[in-house]
Amino acid sequence: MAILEVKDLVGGYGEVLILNGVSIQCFDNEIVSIIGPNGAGKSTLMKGVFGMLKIKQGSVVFDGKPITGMRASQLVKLGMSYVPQDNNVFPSLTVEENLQMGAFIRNDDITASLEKVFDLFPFIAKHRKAVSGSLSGGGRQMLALGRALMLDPKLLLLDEPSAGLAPLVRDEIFEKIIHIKQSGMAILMVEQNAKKALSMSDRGYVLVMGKNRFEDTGRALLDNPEVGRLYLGSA
Amino acid sequence: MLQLFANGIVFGSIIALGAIGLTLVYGILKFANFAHGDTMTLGAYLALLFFNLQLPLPIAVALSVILSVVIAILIDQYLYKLFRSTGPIILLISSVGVALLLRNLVLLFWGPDLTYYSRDIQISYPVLPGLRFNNTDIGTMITAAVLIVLVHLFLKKTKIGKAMRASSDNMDLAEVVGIDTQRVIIWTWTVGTALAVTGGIMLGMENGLRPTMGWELLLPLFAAAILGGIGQPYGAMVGGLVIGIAQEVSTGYISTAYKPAVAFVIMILVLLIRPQGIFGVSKRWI
Repeated sequence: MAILEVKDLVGGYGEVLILNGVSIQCFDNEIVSIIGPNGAGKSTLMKGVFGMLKIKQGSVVFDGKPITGMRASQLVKLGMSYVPQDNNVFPSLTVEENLQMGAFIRNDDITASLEKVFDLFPFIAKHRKAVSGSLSGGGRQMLALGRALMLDPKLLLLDEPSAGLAPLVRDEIFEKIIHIKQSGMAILMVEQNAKKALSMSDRGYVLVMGKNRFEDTGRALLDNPEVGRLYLGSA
Repeated sequence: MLQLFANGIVFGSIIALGAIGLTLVYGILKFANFAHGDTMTLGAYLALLFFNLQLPLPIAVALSVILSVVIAILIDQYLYKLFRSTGPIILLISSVGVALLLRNLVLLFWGPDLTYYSRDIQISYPVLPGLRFNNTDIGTMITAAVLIVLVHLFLKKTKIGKAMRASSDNMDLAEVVGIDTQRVIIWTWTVGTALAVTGGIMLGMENGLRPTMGWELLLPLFAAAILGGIGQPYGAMVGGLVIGIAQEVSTGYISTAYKPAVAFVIMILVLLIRPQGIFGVSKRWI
């Protein structure tokens, strides 16, 4: 059974519809990438799943429970974490305090989870006392990822995790994402950097004008000449 | 000069207590709460009610704080909450309405005249050569210092305090990571109002009670909050002291009538030279 099942989702901001019937599935322990041109509704889809959008039609089922229109604060409790594209850390809080806020809904001891995040991101461990506003873009992205892991979610939603990062840092972030998947988590990711995203994904969706255009394994999408010509910028 | 400076610290402690609440509400709920001064007035008069019932000072203060906090939370839940998504101007104007309401309630029940908690004459005694304090001055400074340390510990060490700072940074993100933002809002009103009311009672002890006492303090409160960097509780503490000292010291050189103008001038200068305030972070592009 899919951990996440989005069916014919229609929705947008106010009267403007961005999603015109998107359907995606995400299974346990897989990375699913959503790619597509600007304005295709990739980030909007993330928001739709995470209860931050007016849903007109369609349904979202997470872990067997219907969650359409549920608020973010409830979804977090069900085991879904979302990392927004930008402004995704609390700049005036220290690195460690940011991680503690990721575990706000927990009332038990969070030391083990903190240690796990520190193990995964030695950079974060090194700067645990630093005010997070002073971190570089890559540092912030790692912190935002780490904070999302504090609840040990079943599904992680990542909105353009590599946006605005230098190539070297970008590769490091992608490496960490693969690592996170190997620990048994499902990851749904929106990426501009489509080739890289598909090459590390189990499956992918190409979204155009708020609708599914292609769906296949990551490898097959990369090899699909039409996808390549239209959306991956290859000749 | 030394005496004026010391008076400034006393007055500045009161401003600091008021400004912390103003800046917390601004940071988390994103609007300038014009009713904050009148909340101080209300609390001060409620304390008068309890003093007149012959209750001991700490109990009278505590009851007045609790009652004011409940009133502030009710106003938030039944008024401000309706306008949460409409933008800061509507909230600001609603708060002006609340300010008028509170002030006129005080006027209705207690009348317009200057009143005092106690008729006893306060005796000031020399502390240092050229420096005299009375018991109220000492009490005000000690209470303010203790409260400021407590606020500091609350914001830095408790989970809900950290969540308040996080929400002040980014309310949407706070929601996304699962912070209970409703609880954060309730705590914001609780802390802000409790400090304001304590400050209001101190002001009543120092200068007596008038229904306009809090409203007239609003300008120095805003000046302190802006000076410290609006939304920054630590800035409000420092800003309060600076404004208090500047206002009192100015009376050594110019007429006391210009005291409120001093706060105004400082506020304008800060806005011109360093609009983000002492502790504020300027918006930068990365």
